[in-house]
Order: sequence, then structure tokens, then C-alpha cells
Amino acid sequence: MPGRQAHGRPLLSQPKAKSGPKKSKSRAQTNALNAFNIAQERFPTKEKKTPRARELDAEIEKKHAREEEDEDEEDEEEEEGPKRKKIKAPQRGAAAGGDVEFGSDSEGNEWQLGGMADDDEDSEIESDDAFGDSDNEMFQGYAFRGSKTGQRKDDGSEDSDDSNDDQGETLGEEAIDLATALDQFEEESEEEEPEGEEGSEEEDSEDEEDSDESDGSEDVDDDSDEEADPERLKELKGLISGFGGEEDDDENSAPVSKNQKIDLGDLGLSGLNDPFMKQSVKLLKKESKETRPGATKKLDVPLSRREQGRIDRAAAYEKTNETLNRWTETVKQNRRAEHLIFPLPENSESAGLDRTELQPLTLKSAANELESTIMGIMEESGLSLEKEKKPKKQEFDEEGNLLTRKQVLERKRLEREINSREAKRAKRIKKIKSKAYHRVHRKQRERDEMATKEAMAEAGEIDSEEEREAQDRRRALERVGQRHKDSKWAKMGSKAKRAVWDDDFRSGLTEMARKDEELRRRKEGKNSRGAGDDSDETSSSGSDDDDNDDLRRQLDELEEEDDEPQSRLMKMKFMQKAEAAKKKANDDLIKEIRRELDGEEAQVSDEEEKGGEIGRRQYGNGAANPFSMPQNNISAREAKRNRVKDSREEEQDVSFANGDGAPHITNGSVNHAWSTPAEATTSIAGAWSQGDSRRKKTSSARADDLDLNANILTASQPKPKSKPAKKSQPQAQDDDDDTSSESDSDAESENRLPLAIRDKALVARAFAGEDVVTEFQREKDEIAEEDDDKVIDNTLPGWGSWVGEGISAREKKRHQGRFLTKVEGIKKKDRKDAKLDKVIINEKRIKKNDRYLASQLPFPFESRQQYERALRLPVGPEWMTKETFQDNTKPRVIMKQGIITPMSKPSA
Amino acid sequence: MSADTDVKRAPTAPTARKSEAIITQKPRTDIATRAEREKARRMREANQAYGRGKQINTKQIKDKKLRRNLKELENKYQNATLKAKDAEILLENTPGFLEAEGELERTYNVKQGDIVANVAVETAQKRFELNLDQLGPYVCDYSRNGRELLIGGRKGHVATMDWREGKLGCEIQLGETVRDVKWLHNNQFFAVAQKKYVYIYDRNGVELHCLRKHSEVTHMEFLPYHFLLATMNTGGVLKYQDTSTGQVVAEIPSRLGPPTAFTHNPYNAIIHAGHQNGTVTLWSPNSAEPVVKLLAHRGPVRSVAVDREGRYMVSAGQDARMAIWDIRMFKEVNTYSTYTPASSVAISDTGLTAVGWGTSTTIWKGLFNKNAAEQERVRRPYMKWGREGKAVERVRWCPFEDVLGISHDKGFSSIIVPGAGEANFDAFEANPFETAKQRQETEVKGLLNKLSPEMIALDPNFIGNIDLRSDAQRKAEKDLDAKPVDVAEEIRNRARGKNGALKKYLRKQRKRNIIDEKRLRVDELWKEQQKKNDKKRKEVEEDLGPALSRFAKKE
Repeated sequence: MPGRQAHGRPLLSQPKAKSGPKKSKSRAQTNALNAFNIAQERFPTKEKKTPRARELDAEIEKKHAREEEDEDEEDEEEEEGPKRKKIKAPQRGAAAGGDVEFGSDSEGNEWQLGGMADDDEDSEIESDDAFGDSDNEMFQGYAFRGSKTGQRKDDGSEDSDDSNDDQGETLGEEAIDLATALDQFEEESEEEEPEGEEGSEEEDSEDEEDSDESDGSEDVDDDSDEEADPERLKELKGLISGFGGEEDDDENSAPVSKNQKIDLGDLGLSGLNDPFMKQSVKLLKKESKETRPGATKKLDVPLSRREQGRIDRAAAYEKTNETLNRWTETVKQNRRAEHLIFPLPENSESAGLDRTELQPLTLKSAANELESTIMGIMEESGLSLEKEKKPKKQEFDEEGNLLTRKQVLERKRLEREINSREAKRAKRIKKIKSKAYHRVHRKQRERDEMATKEAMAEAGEIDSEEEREAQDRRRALERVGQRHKDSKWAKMGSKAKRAVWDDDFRSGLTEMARKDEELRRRKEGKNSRGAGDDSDETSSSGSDDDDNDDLRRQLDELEEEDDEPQSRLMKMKFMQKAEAAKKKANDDLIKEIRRELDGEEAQVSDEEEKGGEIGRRQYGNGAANPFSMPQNNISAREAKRNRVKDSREEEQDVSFANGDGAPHITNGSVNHAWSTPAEATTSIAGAWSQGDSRRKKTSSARADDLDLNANILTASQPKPKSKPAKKSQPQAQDDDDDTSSESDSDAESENRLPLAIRDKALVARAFAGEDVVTEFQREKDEIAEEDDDKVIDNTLPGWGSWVGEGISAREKKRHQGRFLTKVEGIKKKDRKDAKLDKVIINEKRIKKNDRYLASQLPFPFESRQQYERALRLPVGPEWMTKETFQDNTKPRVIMKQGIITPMSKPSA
Repeated sequence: MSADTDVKRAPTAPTARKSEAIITQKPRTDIATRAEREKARRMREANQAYGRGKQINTKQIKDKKLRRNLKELENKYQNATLKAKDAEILLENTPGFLEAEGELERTYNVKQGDIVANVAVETAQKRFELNLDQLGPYVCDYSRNGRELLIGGRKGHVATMDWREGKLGCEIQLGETVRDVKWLHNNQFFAVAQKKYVYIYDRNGVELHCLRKHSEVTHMEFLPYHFLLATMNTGGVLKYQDTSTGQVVAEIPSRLGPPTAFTHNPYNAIIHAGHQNGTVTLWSPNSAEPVVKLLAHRGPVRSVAVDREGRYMVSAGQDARMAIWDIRMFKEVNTYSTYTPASSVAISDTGLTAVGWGTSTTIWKGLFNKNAAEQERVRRPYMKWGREGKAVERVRWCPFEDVLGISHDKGFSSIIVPGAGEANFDAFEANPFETAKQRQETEVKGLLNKLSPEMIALDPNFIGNIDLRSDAQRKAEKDLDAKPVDVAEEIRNRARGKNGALKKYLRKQRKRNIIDEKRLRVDELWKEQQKKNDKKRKEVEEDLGPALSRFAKKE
């Protein structure tokens, strides 16, 4: 069917063939054709046109003339199509009547044909029948597209031939030209696209078509085309219904295009003598009969020129959009850029290179001759920037033989092995050592504690019940931390028979047993002796002994360990050397621990004898004299308490912590003290007296004392405060001589401290007369009151009330406060100085400053914060670096001299 | 400069001590890479030193364009701070202080003699004494760049000198009580508060002005950015005089009697005045009442000083106390006692505080630290000087120098205090090495950039902020008696001057797209003018005749 329409002329004027019963019709058709042909021969071929056809032609002509039509009209056209179809759908059955009607419109042969339409040839009827719907479409709505293009693609050459005389084709080609002009990158296939239709839709329909064609029914694929835009159709339907007049027209023309079965006769070619022509006609007929899938290679009905143009334009538009859209990002970027520099940096040679870092120049990397020459010179003169490679270290064994790499590795491995062995041993020793260390420390601590407890007991501060409980608790905790027979560890061990092969486990077991025993002993001991302070001591000392024993045992073990049989490896000389060194160190350690253990005991006894001085330092500060300790603690506490008190009294400035100050006050001289922090004076009371008493002791004792003080003080307060304490020395009677006092200013500071205190007291007394503080407070209250909300009585005497003689006071009072206005002020709690007792901040607005305030938030900003933030960026060169300043004042577009190459095309 | 007096800088003993303590390193919880952390640290440091306030949250902004703009702005802020931090590399001089070598050494034991013996000759020359025991006690003042010194003896002796070169600028005997002296914006002019009036002299000692409105002035201050000379007299009246235009800007009675101390806050140009009743009042020329009034002392205030950044104020009072105030929060952060009431207090660029009392001067370091959350009490002074029987009258730090000038009843002493001066000067601000040409340039620039007195407020950043008054409040405060703006008057004023001025003005006004009374008026005027022009042209054309009329001048 489409094949016959390949001439491209609209066939609207032709009366369409009537679809009817297939077989009988085909024969009738041939007859009719024959008749028509005969008639044609008789009358010379003279093109006649129906008025309608003429009209349409004219219309097309017109439209061709103005190709650049507005979209509006096109839309209208589009609207027309579907509407016609809509109208027609129900009328399909009654097409015959319409046929007749149409026939009457036309003249001569057409009429004949119209009448004969019922007896069409078989094959043609078939195709006609199949094509019934699509016919309508073709004439009305240009809704064929998909299938047509698909077909056209199948037979490319024919298509091109046909399209040459197609009206629409010229437009199509124009469209292609436009597209190519806009985008040079377009490929061949793309170039062809505008000929066809909207890309994806088309392809889809094409696929569908292929499958449909296998069935051989063109009808279906047309339907699928129809379905492609049912929504649009529906949308348009509403619109179309508005155009009443047009609708009528459509209905008139509808039957015309209902059925069209066209022959050569229809075209006035019935009397064709040309054998070629005839042959082609035959071919065409044959083709139309073909039901095989690939056989229906007919020429497509070319689109009307208008339609083609529209499609082309749409496609071209899309293409153009696509090409232009590639630029949007670039344009955006440039629009937003703060500065644009031409020529564009992207075109420069060094584009994309990181120039923030300089690489060192080498002979290899020298880019030009100058660089390489200079590098060469530098190389020659020994100034090469490249470091020489270190000669590889070579290993020799004891005899001086060169070792291979493998051998070296082997040796290294051995060495490592040995090291690890010794390291393990060292670790164990260390553990023991640290244990011992901690134990000794604990003992010391306990002793201290005991002493303090004693002292506290003396002071009656101790709560024996509580203390006892705490002791019990501690013991319990100790027990909890113990390994038990029925612990997980023990169970696991016994299960796996670890005791047989695991030494650690074995030692652990023995340890467990020992501890168990010890605990039991302890418990018994307590039970037998009953609760008391002594019990604690003894038990702890007992445990100490035990600990020592334990340590010794462990040390012995370690020593024994040394006599292990040696492996072959160990017999090597270097191994033995290393081993010996390690061993020596370890042995030393063991010895040291032993000595410590021994020494400790000796020391304890020593201390008992004479409140010892020696040997304590080993254990640091904690090793202080146990007898002096409680005393010190007390003094420290006292000092602390004093200090607290001082700080509390600081406001009054009259704190003489504990009488110590008194003598110093008498020492104080008036005119030479430099100002010192007043508070410092009071912080040292407790430690001070001690310092005094110990002044004349031996130097070692003194150092010890200082140390002690430090210890106390660090425990109780930060260091800086303690410093003056250390230096506390009563000044050898005061010296009015300035220079001499300057020389010993440390002492001086101490000396003068009480003066400051006295000064403060004096000051307080001296300025007692004029009480500036209360005065100030009063003023502040007044101002606050003044600024506060106020109620104003606007009552006018005599306004609405009587005044004058004889009005009672009660009457007057009654009229007071009738008209009150409240003036909003600043509430007292809202004042800026509400919480500052020594400050009055003026809450009145300074009107002169208003001139520099913005009356409202400027436009683009959404909040005050944003606006004020934007304001704060400084502008002047005084407030920023030159670089920042120049950046900020750079013009937006900078053009450098030279050729400005265009921006390169954005890829993809 | 200041770095060269950095005599001893012991290797840090205290830190070595610290290393004995167990240092527990905080476990790393973040997963930032090292480079990132480094970057963050750099940013933090830069912000601390050069930051300009908190960032705003740009993510909440709905408007896309605004969001982008503000993001860009934040970036600019950040870049600016980072660049400023990076530019620190250009500061060639590193500041340093005297440091004790051990626990037992004290920096205040270092005497001037020791320092002079150990510093370079050039620096040593900065230590000098002027023995002027006849006309004392003296007051002193350094010019803004620290180049020149001005001293004034109570008995009428006034002298200026380039103290580094020992060159005397001028020396005059006024034969009248001199109460205060003050350099103006540069070394060309100085003001002297004399017995009755304030006089302004030029550098040669030639009397230029007699400010009769400032009578019996006891204290003077000069606000360099506003070109205001602020004075307070025995009656307690505070007066501001613009030295560039000569107008009295404000005249405010304090009603608190004669002032006892007087200084200005370099950050916001607020005047701090100390009074007999122990209060310190803060003044701006814009309000008749003190902006803030604080009770600093029980007795009269003896002296007040404000640090360079305007964060802390140190005041000394007759009650033998020295108070450190945070003058942004208005909280007293610390008080110290002085043995005798201090006579003068001054704060150096680096925050050293010199306290002159009796015959000696003590210099304190670290009385305040802007980066510390809690201000620490200082135990002992940094340096001291005195006990030479010279009653200190005033102490002043020399800008950009490690030098403290002490004027006393026996003349003037310049002592070296390592670490006192700003090591790296900003030539945009004040250039100690400026040439005559540069000085002139600076003067002109200063005048062009002069701030108006209305810009003085406690918070100098208020300019451009939004007026937060409510509409009702604004209406209530609106001056109903104010004369309405007369459009005709305005136009007349604008159109004054050249012939084209009116035309230009009208053209511009007509470009505005608002039709209001003014615009109508302008249009009227415009038409009138056009008509006049047309008429004139026609006349001319007529004069020229038909052939030549085309050459008539078009307007």
C-alpha cells in the first residue's frame, strides 16, 4: 500500500477503495480497473482534480512557501490528526455510505471507481483491509511515522530515490544541513536521523515492527504506532473539542480519507504502455501480496513536507540543544568565577601542571641547555646535588672471610634467637624487680599510714570500726585476686595435664598453694589474736617477710636456670660473648635485687635504732622518716587549712595565719618594698615555722627537709605557691639600706609580705570614712531605678473631677491614678551590669552612633549574622597581606596582551 | 630594634623538669590523616592569631546565590587568616624576654648595668639619664613611632629630642606651670597643658595655638585616628578638640571633680578617667554620661593604663592596690597590692606593665594573658629599677623599643627592658624609620582616613550593624520637630557650582526609577531647562540666519 503512494502526492482526493469480502472483490476490482483503463484510453489523459484535492495542494504549496511556521499552527495541525481519527473510529462500519457521498463530490472516473470499490481485487482488498486504520491516520494525523521509517531503512536505495522527488525531502535535507552546521562532530548515522524521526521512539517501534511483520499483519504495527501517543491524543482531545468549526470540516473530510485503494488507473496511468512501468506495477502488486516477513519491502509513503520539516526541526533543535548543553557548565563556571583571565590559562603551556612545588634540578631533568650546562659545571666542580650512593656494607666473619648474603642472614637469625632468650630472662628479672620495688614501696606506704593512723588515733580522729572494716575488705580483695584451686585456670590446667609439660603452670600451681597457705595462716592469726590495730601490723609485716622469701626463691630459680645445657649454637664464640654480656647484666640485676632485699631489712633495723638518715633516698620521696612523717603531715594539713582560710579572708586582707606573721610585721620597713602579690604572703604559714626550726641542722638534713616540704606541698597544692615557702628565712634584722635589701630580694619579699597585709588592713581603715562602695551601690541603684519601667500618672486635676476648696482628701485621692501610662524601660534584671557589682554600664542609647547603623537588613541577606559577617571582611591593605589585598581588588576580567585563543570545546 | 636586647635566653630548664613526669598521651580517636591534622592545627593557630570571629553556617541558607556568595566570603576569611599566618615568616625579629637560667635565679635581680654591659653598643646607648633636677618633676611622652621624646618640667621647662641620636629638637622655658605634655599625630606638633590654657607648639617650639577653651587642664590625651585632643581640667570637664579642623567636638562635665588619672583605650578610642572616689569612668564624645563607670579602688585612683588590644585595664589607687580589669567583660580579674600607692602605670606593646611608685619602678610580666581562660596571679616582678632617690612621676613605654622612659623629679631616665617593644613594626601604622616624605604621606593619609568622632563607641565594630530598635521605638524616638527635608533646597544645594552641576544632578535623578515628590520636582526643573535651551537655540539660529542656522550650538 505505501508503495503506491510513493509519488508523494497527497491522495486525499482519491476515492478510497471499499473494503469488503475479499475474494469476490478482487476480481471485480480487476474488471473495474480494466474498465477504467479503457476509459482512460478513450479519453486523453487529462489531470483532473477534485476541488478538495486542489485545496489541499494549495495548502501544501502555501505551507511550503512559509517553512518557518510557528509552533502554534503545527500544534493545531497535530491536534487535527488525532481528532479526525477519533471521530472516525466509530464510523468505520458505515464507511460505504460515506464512500458514495465522496464519490459524488468527485468527477468522472473517480466516481466510477468509487462505485466499483466494492469489487476490488483479492490481494488488494486484503492489504487494504489490513491497513484500514492506518490509512485514515496517514491522511489525517501523520501518525505512521514509526513503521514508515523502519521500512524506509530497510530499503535504503529506494528510499533515497523516492525522497528526491519528495516534497518534504528538501526540507529534511535542510534540517540535516543545520544540524551539521551546528555540530561538526555528528556521525553518519546521526546525519541520517533527522530524515527519520524522534530517535528512541522510532527505534522502539521499529523493533516492534519487526516482530509484527513476522505475523504479516501491518495492522498491528500501526496500532502500536497509535499507541505510542495515546496520552497526547487524549490531551489534545480536550483542546480540539474547543474548535467547533474545525470539527465540522474534519467530519466532512473524514470519509474522503477513509479508504483508499489506488491503482495505476486512479493515477490516470491506466493506459500505460511503457513496459517498464508495467513491470514495476506488476512487481508492486506482487509485493503487496507477499506475506513473508522480509518481502514487504515497499517504498514508504514520504511524509508531507510540512510534517517532515517539523520533525526535522524538532530533531535539529534537540541536537542543537545537546551540543549547546555541553557548554552550560563552562558558562556557569565562568559566570560564577571571581576572576577571568584571558588568554585562558587552560590554553597555556603549563596548564594542569602543579607549580606549587619546585623539584630539585638534576642533570636528567634539565629542560634546556642552560640548565644542563650549569648542572654539568656543578658536577665537575663537585657541587653535585645528587648524593653519592653509600658503598654496600660487607660482612666478614671472625676469620675475616667474606660472608655471603645467605650466611649473613643466618647469623643474624641466630643472634636474634639468642637475644630473645636473654631478653625473656631479663623480663622475668625485671618483673621480679618491679615486684620487689612495689612491695618495698607498699611497705613504706603502710608504715606511713600506720604512723598517721597513730597520730590520728592520738587526735581521736580515727573511727576504729570503719577502719577495721576497710582492712577486712582489703584482705578480702586480696583473696579474690588469688588463684584458686577451683578457678577456671586451675581446672583447665588439670584437664589438659598441663602440669606435666608446662613449667609456668607448675610454678603457678606451687604459687597458688603457697598463697593459699599464707592466707590461711593470716586468717588464723587474726582469729587467734582478735581484732586490733596490732594485728594489722604484724600480718602485714608477716606478708612482707613472705614476699621477701618468695622473691629470693624466684631469684634462686633464675640463677639455676643459667646452668642449662647449651645447644650447639650456643657453643659458637660470638654467641657466647653476647650471652655472657647479657648474663652479666641479668646477674647484676639479680644481685641488686638481693641487695635491696637485704639492705631493706638492714635499713629497717637501722631506722629502728636511730631514726635513720641513710638509704632512704633509694625509694624516692616516700622513704621519708616514718617518725617525722606524721608530724609533717599534720603540719602540712595545718598549712593547707590555713591557706584555705587565707584565701577566704583575702577579701578582708587581714589574715595572719598563725601568729607567724607577727614578728615579721615588726621587721617590716616602710619605703623599700616593691609590690608583691598580697596573697602570696599568706600561703606558707605551716611550712614556715618548720623551716625556721631546722635552719641550723646539717646540710643533708636540711636538704631532706626541703625535700619533705616539697613532697607535702605538692600533695596539697600546686607548686608555685610552695616556692615562697622554701625560701622562707627570717631576715637578719631589717635593713633600711636599699641596695643591700635588693641583693637579697627573695628574703626581702618574705620579709615584706606581712607589711602588705597590714597595709590592706590599714587601707581598709584609712578609707573607712568615705564609704565609696555603698556610695557606688547607691548610685547604681538610682540609675537602675531611673532606667526601669515607669508608670506615669496623667491625671489632670480638675479634669472630670472637682478641685479647689472643700474637696476632701479622700475625694482627691479617688481621682488619682485614673490615667496611667507605662513607659517601657530596661528592667533591672536585664541590665548589662546586673551581675557586676562594681560596674555601672550606661544603658542609654547613644544617638550619635545611629548614623552609622543600617536601618534594615539589606536584600540578599537572610539574617543579621550573615550581613554583619559579610561586613567584617577588611578592605584596606593595613589589615591583610598584600596578596590577599590584591586578590580582593583584582578586576573581574583581566586581559593580557596577545592572541586570545577561544575557549576549547568542552568534551562530552 | 627590640630583638637585639634579648640578652640571655637560657635553654628551657622548666621543660626539662617536666619531662620527668609521666606523660600520658591522649589516645587518637579521630581518623584524620597526619596531613589533615596538620592542616587543622595550622588553621586553628591562624584563627587564634588572626581570626575574625565565628563562621556563619552557610549550609542553612536556602537562597542558592546567597549561599554561594557567603561560602566564597568564608573562604576569603579563611584565606586571609592563613595568609596572614604564613606572612609571619616575614617578621624578621623575634621577641624575647629575660629568662632565668635556673630556679634560683631571678630576672628582677638583673640590673641595668648588667644589661648595658652585655648588649650591643647601639642598644646600650638607649640607656641614658637626663639630670634635670632644677625644674622637675617631669612628665614625658613619646611620639607615635617612638622616635622622639617630649619632656615637660613642672616649672615650665619643655624639650623635645630625638632621643636615640641625642639630638635636641627644641627646648623652651615657658615660665609657667606645665601640667601635661602630649605629642599630636606626629613629631611636628605637641600640646602643652599650661597653667591656664593648652597651647600647641610646633617642633621648633613656636607657639601655634592657644586653646582658650581648655582652661586649667591637668590631663591630656590624643586620639590619633580621630585627630582629637581630649583634655580634662581641674573642674572635671572633659573636652574633645579636633586638631585637624580646630573645632571643639564635645564638652562634657564629668561632675566628679578633678581627675586623678587619664588615658585612652587605643582599641576603641574611649577615654578612661580616674577620679577621687575610686571610680574609673569611660567616656566617648557622643554621650553626656560616662559609658561605663567602675569602682576600681577604695581610695582615689592614681593611674590607669589600657593595653594595646583594649582588653585589659590596669589601675593603681591610693589604697595601695593595683587592679587588673577585663574591660570587655568589665570584671576585675586580679588585684595586687603595692607597697606605696603607685604614681604611674603603663602597659607596653607586649603586655609588660610598668608600675612607678615612690622612687622605684617595677615591671610586671604576664599580669594578663588574652589566651588564658583564667588569669594567673604573678608572684614576682619581671624587672625593677630605682631606689636612687628619684621620685617617679610618670612611666611611659617607648613604642617599638625595649625601652621604658621614666620621668621623675630629677629628670628623665631611659632604661632597657628586654622584650617590651613590638619587635616587628607595621609601617602602615607607625614607622620608626620614616623619612620626611613618608611622614608627610602618612599625615595626608591619616587625614583622609580620619574617623569621625561619632564613630567612637565601646564596640568600634558597630559601624554598619543593623539598628535593632523596634519600629515603635523608632517612631517614638523620631524627632517630630525636625524640619522636613526641603527638596528645593536640596536641589539648589546640589546644583550649586558649575553650570553643568545642575544638569548632571537632574540627569542622575531622572535615571532613578522612583516617582516621588523629588522626582516630580526634578522633572519640572528639567523641562524648564529644556525649554530655556530650546528658546536660546532658536534665538541663536535666528541670529545666524537660515543658511548658517545649522551651525548653532546644540545643547
